[in-house]
Amino acid sequence: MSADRDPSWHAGVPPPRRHSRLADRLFSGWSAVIGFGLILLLLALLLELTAGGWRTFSRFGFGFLIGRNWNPVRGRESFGALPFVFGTLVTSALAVLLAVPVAVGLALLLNEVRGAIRNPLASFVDLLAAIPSVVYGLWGLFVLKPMFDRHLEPFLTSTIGKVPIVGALFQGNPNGPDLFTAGVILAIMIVPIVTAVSREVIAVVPRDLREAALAVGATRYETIRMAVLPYARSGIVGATMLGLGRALGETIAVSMVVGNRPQVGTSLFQAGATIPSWIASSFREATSVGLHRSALLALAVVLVGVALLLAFLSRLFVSRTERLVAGQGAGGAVETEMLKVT
Amino acid sequence: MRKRDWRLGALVIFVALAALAAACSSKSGSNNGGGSNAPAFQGTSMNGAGATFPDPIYEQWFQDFQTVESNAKINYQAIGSGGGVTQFSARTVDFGASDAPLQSDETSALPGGAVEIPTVLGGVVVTYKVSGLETGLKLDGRTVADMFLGKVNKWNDQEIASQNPGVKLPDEQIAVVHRSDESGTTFVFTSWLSSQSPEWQQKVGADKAVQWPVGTGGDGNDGVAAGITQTEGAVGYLSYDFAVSSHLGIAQIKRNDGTYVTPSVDSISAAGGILKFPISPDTNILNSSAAGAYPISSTTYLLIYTDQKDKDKGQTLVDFVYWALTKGQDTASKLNYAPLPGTIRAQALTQLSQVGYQGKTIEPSPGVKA
Repeated sequence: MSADRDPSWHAGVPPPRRHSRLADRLFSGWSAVIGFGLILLLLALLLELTAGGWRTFSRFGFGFLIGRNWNPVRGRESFGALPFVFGTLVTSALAVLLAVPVAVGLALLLNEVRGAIRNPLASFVDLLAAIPSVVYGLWGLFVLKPMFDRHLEPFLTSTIGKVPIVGALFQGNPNGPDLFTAGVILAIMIVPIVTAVSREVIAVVPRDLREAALAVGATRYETIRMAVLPYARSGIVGATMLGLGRALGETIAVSMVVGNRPQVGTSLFQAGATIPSWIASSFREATSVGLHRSALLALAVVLVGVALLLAFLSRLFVSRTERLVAGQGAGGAVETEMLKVT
Repeated sequence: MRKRDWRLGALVIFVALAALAAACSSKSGSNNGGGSNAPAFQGTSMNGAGATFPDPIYEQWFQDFQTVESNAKINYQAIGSGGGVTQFSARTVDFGASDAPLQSDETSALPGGAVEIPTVLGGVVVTYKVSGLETGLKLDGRTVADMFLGKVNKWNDQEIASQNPGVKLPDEQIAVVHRSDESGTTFVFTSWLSSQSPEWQQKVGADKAVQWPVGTGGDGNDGVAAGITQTEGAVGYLSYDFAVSSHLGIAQIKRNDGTYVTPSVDSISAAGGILKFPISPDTNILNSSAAGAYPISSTTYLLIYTDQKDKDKGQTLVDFVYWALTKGQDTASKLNYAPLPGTIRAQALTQLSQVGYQGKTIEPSPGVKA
């Protein structure tokens, strides 16, 4: 648009190229700023958290990670992160275990089914993602928890609870808030995001893969199991990690149903506490002095550590499965599976 | 080529920073609302910060006070007592508010003399939800402590039954619900438990958050109220104003003289009768010996510098506190806060006369006295 006013146009210098070079440079410069800025921001955040929590780390050392006490009373201070790490991992793991099969099934359905049900269903699932977490929390507290207390949890105790080893997970008093309810709420909260991402991943499975499977006589289910899922596996793992990230970081909904009791135990029907919900509720009186505040910041460092560790592990997992699939060739894997069938 | 790219990048960073700095600097400044010199003093705007417990009544007072002095726009941030003292100490606010009296190290950190003025009283109430059990269960301090220690874990325990002859107590587990956040309510409650039970004092102690021996935590008064409502056999503690509106069972608490008292605006108000001035670091109205007083009562204070730096702000502040301690007290009970007893109001007003500007006491404007 500025070409008319640019004298160089008439001098024979190709202005579109100059223009694009300037734009390119601006763009790459700006991208670099944003990219490095993000990294700096993360580093600054970690630094700030660690500095804030330093007094706790230096006083308790490694004991902070494995300690089970959390006593903020002045003069009796003793802080340990283990019950919170435990609660965070248990609720998140439960959420992922419950949510991923449902979400992947839903994603397959949304891809395979043609017709009137598809669009409303898809937008309904997306709608679930838009509900604020506090609403899930309230619903969990007033609807889900009483239902679990009276019906589901006694039922589980009297059935699966009798199985050796696994049964230990379902023992105890069903009354009151517990890890199980928190895990179910989290599962419901992460279903939409896992579904949405899985759906996109499954949608890009090449058509010829499906057709190849169908051509050699695979049923619809076999096509999904042998052609679609192996191809989409790494994407589904990625989707799961996104869901896990949300479950790890959830504060308010968990805080309402988990019971906020820092303890470690074998049963899912006992109260627990997660790192984010504990930090959120304890920080209310923002400027309290003493070691308590520093211990909360140290807890935040532990949470970041747990999240980074899980992200790293998932990357490792994804790259391994990718290599596995690539090694055989995605199509090759399907072919060998096919041969086994036929 | 590469170098140039970097230079360009640096330029972009510089421009971005410059823009940010410009945006920041344009925000500050121009915040002084000039007080008009109208015949009747109309007040001026000012800021305060501190305790969350009195926030609802303070907000109501600030609103009502504008009908007396129309320019008195008072902005209050309920950031917690600790934050209130810190900001007051740094003089970033015109007044502070705290549920606990200033401690000696806090007083010595202040840049000038300050006066602590009690405004309203509140109580902590033991509430429960047990089907078939009506409100008014009688409990003494030791029993409550034992329930929260997990030693008394059935509703038909002998310790409860012996105080409630004729009441049919169910054979049901007690589920303790407490606050999970740091809170002045927890401080008052655990201080009272410590005063009643040596075992509690020794094992748990008193603070804004403690290591609870048993039970589950709810976030805030509403979190605890919801937790109790949703759990059969639950017992917990709530700030009085919340307990009244929650329709839960409210326990009568045994006083040190052996009588049981139901928490009410009147019985909490009566507890304030033992307040002594000037307020000292260990002032509290727990286990008040005043007639009919509810034992788990507490007060909340406004923190005001005795040497005001700004004439108009000082005048507005004195006017407001004078008004709050006189006419404002009637509003308190409507919001389920307990007003100060009459004798205490008068003594609090004499405390207010310490507040001055350039060495001269600031007298309340005629407008607020009328």
